[in-house]
Amino acid sequence: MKKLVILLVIVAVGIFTFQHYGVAEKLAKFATIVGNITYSLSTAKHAYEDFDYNISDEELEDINVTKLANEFKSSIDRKKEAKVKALLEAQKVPKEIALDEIREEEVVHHTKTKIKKAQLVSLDALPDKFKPLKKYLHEPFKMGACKICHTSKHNKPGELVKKNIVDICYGCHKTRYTKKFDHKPVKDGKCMDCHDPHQSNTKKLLKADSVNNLCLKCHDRSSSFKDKAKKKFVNMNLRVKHKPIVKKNCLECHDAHTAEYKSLLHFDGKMDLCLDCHDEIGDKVHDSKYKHGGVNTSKKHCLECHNPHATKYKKLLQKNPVATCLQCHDKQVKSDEDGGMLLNIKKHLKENPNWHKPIKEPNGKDGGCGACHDPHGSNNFSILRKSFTKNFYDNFENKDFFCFKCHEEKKVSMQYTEDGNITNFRDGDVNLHYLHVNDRKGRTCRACHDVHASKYTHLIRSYTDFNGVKFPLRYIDTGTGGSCAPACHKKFEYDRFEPKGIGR
Amino acid sequence: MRRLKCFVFTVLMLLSSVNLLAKENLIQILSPQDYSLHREATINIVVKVTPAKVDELKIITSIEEKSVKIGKTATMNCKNILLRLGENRVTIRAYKDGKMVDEQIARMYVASDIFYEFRYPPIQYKQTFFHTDTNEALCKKCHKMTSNEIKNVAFIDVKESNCYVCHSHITKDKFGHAPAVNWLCGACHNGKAGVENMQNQGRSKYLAAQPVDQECFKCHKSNYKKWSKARYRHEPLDSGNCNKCHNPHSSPYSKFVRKPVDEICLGCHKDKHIKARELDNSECQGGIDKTKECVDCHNPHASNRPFFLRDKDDQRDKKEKR
Repeated sequence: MKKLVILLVIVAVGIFTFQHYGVAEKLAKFATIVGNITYSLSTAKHAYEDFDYNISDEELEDINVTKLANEFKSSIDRKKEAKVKALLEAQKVPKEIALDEIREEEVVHHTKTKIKKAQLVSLDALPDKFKPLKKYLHEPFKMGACKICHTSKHNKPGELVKKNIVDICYGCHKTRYTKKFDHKPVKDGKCMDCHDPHQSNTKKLLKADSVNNLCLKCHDRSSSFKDKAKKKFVNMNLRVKHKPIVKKNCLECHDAHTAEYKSLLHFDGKMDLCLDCHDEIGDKVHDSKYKHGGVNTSKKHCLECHNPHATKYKKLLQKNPVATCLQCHDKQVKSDEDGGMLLNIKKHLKENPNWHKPIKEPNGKDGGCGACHDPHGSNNFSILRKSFTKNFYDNFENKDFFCFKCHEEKKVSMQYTEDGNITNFRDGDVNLHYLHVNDRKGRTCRACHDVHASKYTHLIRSYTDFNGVKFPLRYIDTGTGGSCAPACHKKFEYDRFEPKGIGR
Repeated sequence: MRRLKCFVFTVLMLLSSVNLLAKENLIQILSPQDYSLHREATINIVVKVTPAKVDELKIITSIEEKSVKIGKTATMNCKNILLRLGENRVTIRAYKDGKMVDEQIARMYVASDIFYEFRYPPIQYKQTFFHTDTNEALCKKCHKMTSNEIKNVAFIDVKESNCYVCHSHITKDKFGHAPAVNWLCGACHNGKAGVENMQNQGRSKYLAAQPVDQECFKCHKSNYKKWSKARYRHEPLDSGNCNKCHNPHSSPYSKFVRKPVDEICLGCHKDKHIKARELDNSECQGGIDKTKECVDCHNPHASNRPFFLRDKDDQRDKKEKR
């Protein structure tokens, strides 16, 4: 009796946990995953090698399709040559390009598939559902060689020669499937998901009106197609789209069937594929003096920041131009430049509420970190777009400093502000910027201003770095003026309307 | 002047005789010790008092007289006093209801490298250090005796510094040296001894290395580049004793010099005093034009020309900091 009771209790507890914590679902999920893995390991890859589909020689002799096939082939060759010529002209540098380098479109030779003349069906005699005929026809369909795929039994019209439709397709289309990665429908043998075996209004007998729409049928999250992809969704309803997708189609980068690189790409999708078109950026990335670790040494290279399909933000960035950078710069990152640690910008911005305009308005015209830094690499330190000085003391004269790209040089170069609009950092009409910047020991902008963010107005630093020592500026804003008490001098006050007599 | 000195001396002798009459030791000078040697003119004096029997202290030096009111529980009393160069006699008198109860005397010597007269102190004066474990234990009740500065980050409010509380007087002058004014004491006073003060190793927690030039040239790099290439270098620069002429904390004179420039020069170059200033010798043109200073023609640090004369492109930077 005791044993029975214990057993019952165990069973009850088991059922309770199964239901209450969803263990059953998890187990089922786990089982499907394991099943999928074992299936793909054992029976995956293409089964066509095992497939034995030979037509007897007698049958082959009856019909001669070689002529047709040769014509088809020669037309493709001509296209290929034209492509090479165009490429050479575009580059203007004579360069030997092997014909094999260009992606070869599949050529089907119908030499082997010969059918007796008597068995051909004329187009007029086709069933009504194929009429009217569409723009593009499948070659056997055009010939009326239904027998290649269908059995001739009249009681079962439309029955196939082989049970699996793949076996029939691969009988002729043997040139594919020599590469590393396959498209899921190809792997599963679902040719009919994309292609119509008889006729279509789009090239390659597609089941949709364009290549893009066909792809999105599965790869759109909101699609109603029942066999749509489980992941790898692309949202193309966003404002900024990658040009090749809009102007041409997905096949500019992807191969529909099989490819050597992940995501069915023609080249390595992290960098090489992008630089194939964006070669100017390629020069920057590889040849510039100071390189950005985000592109050069990161795991995902270009894709760390960019989305190759479509985004809300300019330049196809994943997040807004500042938030994209903060994905990595939310901690101290080791600099490739000198091995030092870079500032934790996210923390810096959090602690200091007054931000520089490009950071404050990332989606503006000159917005984002990219306004000053070139994320692909630059010949100036800190990958700045234009030169600046690292020194504390540097005379600004005759130097094309970066700040003056946006800020007026007048602010610094005029000794007296005749009209008060030039700068607010003045004592009466004495320009205090001029006083700080123009002497033999002229200080750079960064001595007093923090270019990213600050606790104080006008981006005044809380600490200035002098020879590795941090001295506080002790800036106080009084509304019509202010005061500073840095390490350089004692506490000085200035006022725009009641001059305190500085610089006279 | 001599008469005044004699007068003061006799008065002090009289006072010390009064001291003999007093029976009880109500006050005790803890720091500085008797016959102590100093290099700075301002010092902190620490006196231990029995507060029940004393209600006022008077500290008398040859320069000033300061009085300290004593609370009912204040056994330890600190006061900052000013000394003059050479021998000093500091008298501390304790009063109770207007009556003098006790008197103590401490002798101190302020030495200076600039002036020949005070360069070599009498042998009985010994250098003493305050920041030792035994001394700090006495002050711990009221003062935080540890350094609270973050390395290489200055205080936003300098009064937060633990050093400021007792040593604020060293930065009170017009021209303040940035590290001192911002109370980054630890940069120099790191407790390590240099080549010249090896004998003091471990005697103080906040010892500063002598010679100091290594610490100076960490910031004044461009000067080091310029001077190290020069053909002739002045002795204090070569030996690394920048603090011989400059006060690293603060000074009433521009460039942090300890005294007016001519006084410093003539402190060592005594012979030039006679030649240049009084006899108008043609050897030095400065003697004729009395508005000029030595440094107008001579570079006090280094030069490529004999007599440290300045080049055309090496003119004196007269622009003073405001």
